[in-house]
Amino acid sequence: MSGNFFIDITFWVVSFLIILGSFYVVTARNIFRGAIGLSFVFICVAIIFFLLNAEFLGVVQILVYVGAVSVLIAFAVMFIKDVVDGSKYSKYRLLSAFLCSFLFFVLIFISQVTEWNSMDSIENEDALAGLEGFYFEESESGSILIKKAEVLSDGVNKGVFINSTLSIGSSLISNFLIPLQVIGFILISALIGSLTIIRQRRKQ
Amino acid sequence: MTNQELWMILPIVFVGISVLATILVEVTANNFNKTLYTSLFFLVLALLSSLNIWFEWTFVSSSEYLFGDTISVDKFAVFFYFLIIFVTIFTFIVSRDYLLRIKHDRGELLILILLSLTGMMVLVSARELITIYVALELSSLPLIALGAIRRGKYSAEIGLKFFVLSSVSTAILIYGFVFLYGLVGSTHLTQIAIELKNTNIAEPALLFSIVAIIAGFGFKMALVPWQSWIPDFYQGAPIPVTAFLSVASKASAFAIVIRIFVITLDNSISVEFWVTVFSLVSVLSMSIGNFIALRQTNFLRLLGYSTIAQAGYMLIGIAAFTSNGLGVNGLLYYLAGYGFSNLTVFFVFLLINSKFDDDRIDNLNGLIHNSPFLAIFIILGLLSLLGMPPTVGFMGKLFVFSAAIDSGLIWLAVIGGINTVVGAYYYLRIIKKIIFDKSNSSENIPVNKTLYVTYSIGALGIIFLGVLPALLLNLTKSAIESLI
Repeated sequence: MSGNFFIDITFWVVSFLIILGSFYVVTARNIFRGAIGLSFVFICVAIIFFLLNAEFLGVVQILVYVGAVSVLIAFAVMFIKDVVDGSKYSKYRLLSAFLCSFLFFVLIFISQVTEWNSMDSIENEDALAGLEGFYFEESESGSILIKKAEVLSDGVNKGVFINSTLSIGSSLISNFLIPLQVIGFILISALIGSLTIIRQRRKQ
Repeated sequence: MTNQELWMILPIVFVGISVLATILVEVTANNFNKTLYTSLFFLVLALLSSLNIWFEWTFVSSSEYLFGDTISVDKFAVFFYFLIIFVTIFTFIVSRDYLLRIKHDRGELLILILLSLTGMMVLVSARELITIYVALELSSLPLIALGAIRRGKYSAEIGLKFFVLSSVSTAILIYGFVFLYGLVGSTHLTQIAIELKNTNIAEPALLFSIVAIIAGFGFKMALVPWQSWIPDFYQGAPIPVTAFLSVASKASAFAIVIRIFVITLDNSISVEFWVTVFSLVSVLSMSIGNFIALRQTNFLRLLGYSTIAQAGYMLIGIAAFTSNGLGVNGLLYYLAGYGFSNLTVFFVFLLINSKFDDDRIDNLNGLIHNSPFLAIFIILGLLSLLGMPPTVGFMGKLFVFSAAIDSGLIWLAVIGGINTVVGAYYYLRIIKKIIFDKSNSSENIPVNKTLYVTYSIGALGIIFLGVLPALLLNLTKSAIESLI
């Protein structure tokens, strides 16, 4: 992090807010307030995505999670009778608190000990090509230039996705065509499955 | 997408088209037979195009990496295509009468099974973490709705339980994938294997990701710490769905586990670790599955616990993979044999269940006096599940146990043997009821000719593959060779 003081400060503040918000979501007994806290956490996560240069993910996070999922949760909450003190403490709360904090420390330990494979540290050209395969750039005339990873200039793979939307869009219809199609089928199955269940309940 | 790529993924494409065509016909035709035959037509086409790839008749490309190496249609994948498409076809044919009898949601049942099949088809040939995750979701999401489709007292509970457990396990799986990606920097299995071999790292993160991935797939394979949904699902879901799930879901999960662990994570440090984890999980699954099964009075619950134990036996094959491929070969053999035996048992019970309309084991009492043919078929299936020679179940157990001994896991083979004896108690108890106990009613169960043909195929498979294991072993060998 060479000297970008503002980004560092934002990162720490937002991370702190995320942790605080998550605590509130878990501990709030009023379910509706919990849902509001959750959408706050979603917004903060979107900010983290923006800080990481993943603008597309950030926008999707706000559109889908803040815009759709939170509203859905809010609607679901309206069907619950005891919103104010709806969630009772579980009798296993000590055990689960112990397990969760154990997992927390394990993850902290792992994240500190591990030498993560950051993009800058990869020097093997084949590995880079495997990672990116191709790199997409918009030329001055507006058309999309496709460059191979090996011809990238030095500075480019430092920040990685300069224009992440372009690159995500291109991979979705080239290398990741099959997962994209499968997601379409997932939507069909969610649609048919939920319709089946709901129709059957109404008949009863 | 090149022409050849299209030819190679034709089996998946046909199954995908079968979903869409079945939806269209179901909406427009208003005739259940038409819906059923449409889906069967496309499934047979998928089977034929898989045959084309296996025997390399036309337009089969030599390069196995398709669509930027996200999937590969090698013989290993095609072997599993055969298995799961056959399971689906048989399920559809046998459950036709059942579906005609329940008047609601039968088209949806077919469509959801086909959707799940599409996910499994992609899953068994996936070579990339994102594809694996998406395919896994597609294969399990329709099963949630299928679990809740029957109008029973518990159907909503089953659906919810399955949904929560399945999302938690997938979340854990994703965590494992993320750690793997963070270490290696690629989501492609080939690339992961190369990077791990080059560096040979023993990071805690690698071990954590292995545990998380095993936990994620353990849910699908019905292994023990993640088994709690199995008995409820078996009891509450429609029997055709359970029959499909018990074989196809397990087979596809084992396929992808072989791809991830045996092929990708094969540097010495991680191998040592996951062999230990798999052995422990296998012992737990066998023992707990068998011991709880001893006390069951409901036949479907009993089959649920028996399937947990069977998954434990199969896992021995993965833990013993170092034995010159014998372990994985044995596992594939076991899976195919398990398909024959389990489906035979399920489909015979489907008929009996449709007569009595409840699932107690006592309904099988004296079956041999009323319907001797049905009794013989179900006894054959049970003997094969138990592992009695000369059935296919015996050969499967023989292969995985000897693989365990070959690779130095003698204790695992011994525990497997002990568990087989424990399991023998409850399988033989059912057979005793069928042969010696007094029947509740004296009328026999009507069976039409199609059903006799399918039962006979099951019985022939059980006996022939048990006597002549080389038939199937050649297939599994070339499947494994295409993988390595």
